[in-house]
Amino acid sequence: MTPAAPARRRTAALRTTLLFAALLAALIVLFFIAVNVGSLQVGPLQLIRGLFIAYDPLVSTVFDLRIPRVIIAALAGAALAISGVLLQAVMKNPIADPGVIGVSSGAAFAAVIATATFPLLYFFTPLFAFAGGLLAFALVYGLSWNGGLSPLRIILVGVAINAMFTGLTSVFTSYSGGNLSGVAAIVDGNIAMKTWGDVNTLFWYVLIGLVACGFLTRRANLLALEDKTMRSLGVSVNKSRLLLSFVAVLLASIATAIVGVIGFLGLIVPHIARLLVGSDHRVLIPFCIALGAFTLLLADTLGRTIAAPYEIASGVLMAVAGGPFFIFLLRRDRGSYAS
Amino acid sequence: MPVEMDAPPAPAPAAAPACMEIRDLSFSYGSNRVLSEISFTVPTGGVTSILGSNGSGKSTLFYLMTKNLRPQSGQILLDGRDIRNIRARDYAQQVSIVNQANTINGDITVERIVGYGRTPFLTMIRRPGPEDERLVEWAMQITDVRKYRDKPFSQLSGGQRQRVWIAMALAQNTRYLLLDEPTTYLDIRYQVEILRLIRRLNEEFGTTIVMVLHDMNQALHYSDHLLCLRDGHVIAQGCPHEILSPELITRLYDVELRVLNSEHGRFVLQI
Repeated sequence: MTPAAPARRRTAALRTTLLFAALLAALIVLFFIAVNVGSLQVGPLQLIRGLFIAYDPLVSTVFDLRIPRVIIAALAGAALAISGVLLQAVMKNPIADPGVIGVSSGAAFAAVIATATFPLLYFFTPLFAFAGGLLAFALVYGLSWNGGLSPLRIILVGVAINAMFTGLTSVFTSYSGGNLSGVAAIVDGNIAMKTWGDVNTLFWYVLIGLVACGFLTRRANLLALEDKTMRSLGVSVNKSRLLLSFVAVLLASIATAIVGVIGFLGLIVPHIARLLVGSDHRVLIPFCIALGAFTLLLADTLGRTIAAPYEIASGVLMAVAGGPFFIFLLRRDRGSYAS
Repeated sequence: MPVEMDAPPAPAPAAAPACMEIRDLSFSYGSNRVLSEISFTVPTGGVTSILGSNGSGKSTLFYLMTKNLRPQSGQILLDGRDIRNIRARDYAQQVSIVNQANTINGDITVERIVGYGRTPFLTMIRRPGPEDERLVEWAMQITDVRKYRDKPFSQLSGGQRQRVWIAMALAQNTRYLLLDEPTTYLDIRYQVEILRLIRRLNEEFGTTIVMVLHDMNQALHYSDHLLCLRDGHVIAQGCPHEILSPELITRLYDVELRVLNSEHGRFVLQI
């Protein structure tokens, strides 16, 4: 073994550890900033005292109104980023994104119908969304399959499925007068008016998805191989694709059910994460959880700040930032995607 | 870090006499019959080459032997067990495969790809240990790809890439190694390098090798046994120096070529 190998490996490990530490620090700082953006302000010390030691009316208000929103942004961001990572592994396509290929709009459509039709089954809205997401995913996958999956065909079929479900949702909301607040939030990708109940719903589903994802990192890595090679290593390709897709659609649908359609996050976050920590999913997935949480929280916080007292929905902000990024990716790697 | 470089792989379990046998194997794509009742016993501890023209069924036979296709009738037996009944993972612990024109998505380093060869021996709980690392080092050493260990696959030449895939298969440390046209699309230098490496694996570690080859001279010089296919039938099998004649070549490829005997052995004049 070359003597440099262990040293080099240590350097790489150290770099990754530092990046993780920096990201977590940034996430904590952003959390306190996000909690303080708005008309009420509480410092970190006051916040901690008010939460754990003595009652503080200011902290109590912030606790009920802003903290759920902050946590939801972070959880949904993590879920969408991981959904992107997994879909990219399954489709061998670095530009797959739950928003772009229509999984989110399928989930949103089902969630809107469920919210309007069975408002009492509120806690189960994510399950309806999951069914919608699965339907959209199955359509995209089935319709773009032609002996293999061409990256560009997936995107084209995905755009069509996305347009169809977005249209169906519009039709439905027009019929219902468009005055259902829950429905409007799902359509716009707006995280306003969230409660601890929403946190509770989102938290458990996202936790299940992320834990499941922890068991799938090796399969995610092996999917980069050709199917026959993966099979020659004794790993079932179809089972791997199915498991990863299932978790990816679950995470994207759950996030959509609570915060609405947010496109491009599942594209941008994994892309930046790969540049920073490489493509090994054992590192990439935990890193994307943190970076996804950071990104959506940042988008939501900016959305509350830029045009205050008005709010820009984080879904809108992500679309504005993500569109050009998407085009940049397409153009830069034209050779490899336009097959 | 001291690593015994020339240490052979850990001895394979010496239970039942190792044996791979193809019995009355047939396969059709729709109504198009590509293999008709093929029977063949892979010589244990030897190098076997499968020869045949395009459409002779040799690729189909390879896919059947690698469990990428399921036989419609007949069987392939590994130590007496039908490979259909052997789980993919168990099969991968005994048989490693080098596919043709293999690629990988994204920028994965050589070391990681070779490390994937240990996959059949890992579980959710069992992570790579010192023995796995030793085998990966050994596989990279013997295929001479260790100096590129940190290079992304996309930056390698064709010959280097093929050696990486062979290294991955070697890291599986199996008794059988199956290769599908391992020299196709390579410069002559790499062709010879790869074939010498295969021969060496067989001689030093006793690995049983089966490969699909295009080149008759390569088959003649680097294998102990030939399996000649035409239109899905075995038309000849045996020791290459005994069976490869102008008549057999005509039956195999529909072309008349001379076979020359020289002091260095037999050659097919492929012009």
